Amino acid sequence: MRDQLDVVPDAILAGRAADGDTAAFESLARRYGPHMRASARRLTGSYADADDVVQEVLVQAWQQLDTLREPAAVKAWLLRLTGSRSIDLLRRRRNHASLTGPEDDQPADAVSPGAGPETAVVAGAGITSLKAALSALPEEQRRCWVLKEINGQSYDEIARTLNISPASVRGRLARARITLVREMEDWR
Amino acid sequence: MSTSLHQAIMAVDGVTEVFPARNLWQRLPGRAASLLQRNNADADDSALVEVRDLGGRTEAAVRIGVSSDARTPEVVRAVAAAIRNHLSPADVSVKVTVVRIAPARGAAGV
Amino acid sequence: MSMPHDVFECGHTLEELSLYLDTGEFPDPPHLESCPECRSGLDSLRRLSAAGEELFANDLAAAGSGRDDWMKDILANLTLELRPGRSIPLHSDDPADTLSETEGSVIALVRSVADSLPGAVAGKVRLEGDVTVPGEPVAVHVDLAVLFGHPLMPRAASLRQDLATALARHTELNISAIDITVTDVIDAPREEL
Repeated sequence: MRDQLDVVPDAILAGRAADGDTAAFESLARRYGPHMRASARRLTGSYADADDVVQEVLVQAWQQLDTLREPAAVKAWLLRLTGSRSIDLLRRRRNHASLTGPEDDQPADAVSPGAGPETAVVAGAGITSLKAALSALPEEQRRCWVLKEINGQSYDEIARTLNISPASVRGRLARARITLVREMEDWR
Repeated sequence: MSTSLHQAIMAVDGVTEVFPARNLWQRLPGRAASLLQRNNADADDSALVEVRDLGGRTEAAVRIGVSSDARTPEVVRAVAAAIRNHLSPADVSVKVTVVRIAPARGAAGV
Repeated sequence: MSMPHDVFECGHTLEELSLYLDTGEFPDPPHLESCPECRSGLDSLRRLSAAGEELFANDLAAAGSGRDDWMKDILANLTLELRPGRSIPLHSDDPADTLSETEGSVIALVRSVADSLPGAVAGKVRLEGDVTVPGEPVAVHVDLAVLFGHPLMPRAASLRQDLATALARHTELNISAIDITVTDVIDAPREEL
């Protein structure tokens, strides 16, 4: 039965999991875990923190699944929770850093780009220059961009996650894109 | 007592498991679900059967799993009788809650 | 290079183009085909979007599969509370006793009966009506996903019968209706199941 669940639509899995079926919940976790992990990594800049975020989101998701009005939208919901938790973690990390000093606020396993020649060969120049440009963006623009392009969220969803207006999202996203375009064209 | 209360309950036909009295958790299928099942005859009954004093009368409460082959209403009545029997001559009221209905462990199926 | 509020010669801005790419909204769509500045701006934004997709694909591949150890470890560390739901009473010979079953146990029972039907996977199960009051009519609602190719009508009838039998065996509920809704037809190769 467990493997059978893997071909079953999200809404069915979400319905079963909301009823208490842990096998269905596990199936959902495996289905969207990688996307959640990729998103959390891009937002927090840390592999370890990203896995913590994924685990915390799964715990919260189990607890709140029966409140989900649209079971078919469980994927977007999981990604939205991932975005929120990642940003909360960044906020806590920054608060901690302000107590301990600036040199401590960069995680040892930073995902941020610092492209070297080896990376360029492996990843392709396009991605490399994008990563470099992304790391240079102001934090609030980067978050908007990642939530849009990696989490696939709408303006309204991003606005809710970041607690700003949709108009602010539109502005930050546009500024982020323009800066990124400029940076990447300088690379060439 | 020669047999524990846990054994007395498990001896009732149709009972598959006795669950801890507090905080029911479940693990995902990959982990051993037997965390919730006690096979040990010397199992600490106090963790399985919650005994409360309700204005002079003692209430013994237990949570069980029932086999899908059994008839649940009959099983819970038999369990209540077994508990009362085991605790007599103490005058207890009994609370039995079925939290799971599934094939007995080792049977074919999920 | 322009900043978002800078205005092109034509009067439009890059922020408007950014919005257009996301929503398809633009004050004057035909303009986009003829204006070189706007077209150049859109090209740049589209190239960025493609790079973003490539980055995402890369990130996703780097994140591994849901079956890898990292996910197994996360799942192994999860403890998920049982969902008992409402308390469904069962008759007791001794008035001092309280015998019951959880709504969660009955829902899981319904789900397992539905799952045992070949080609069917149960979705949400709902008990409608006040299950906490003995004798109160209760309607059972089951969502079902069915494998393409499996005949639906005879399946629904036999499932209804199986459910009625299981509920009579394991509950004292007054079942007024068993309502099965096929919400999904799954198109999957037979070998996968």
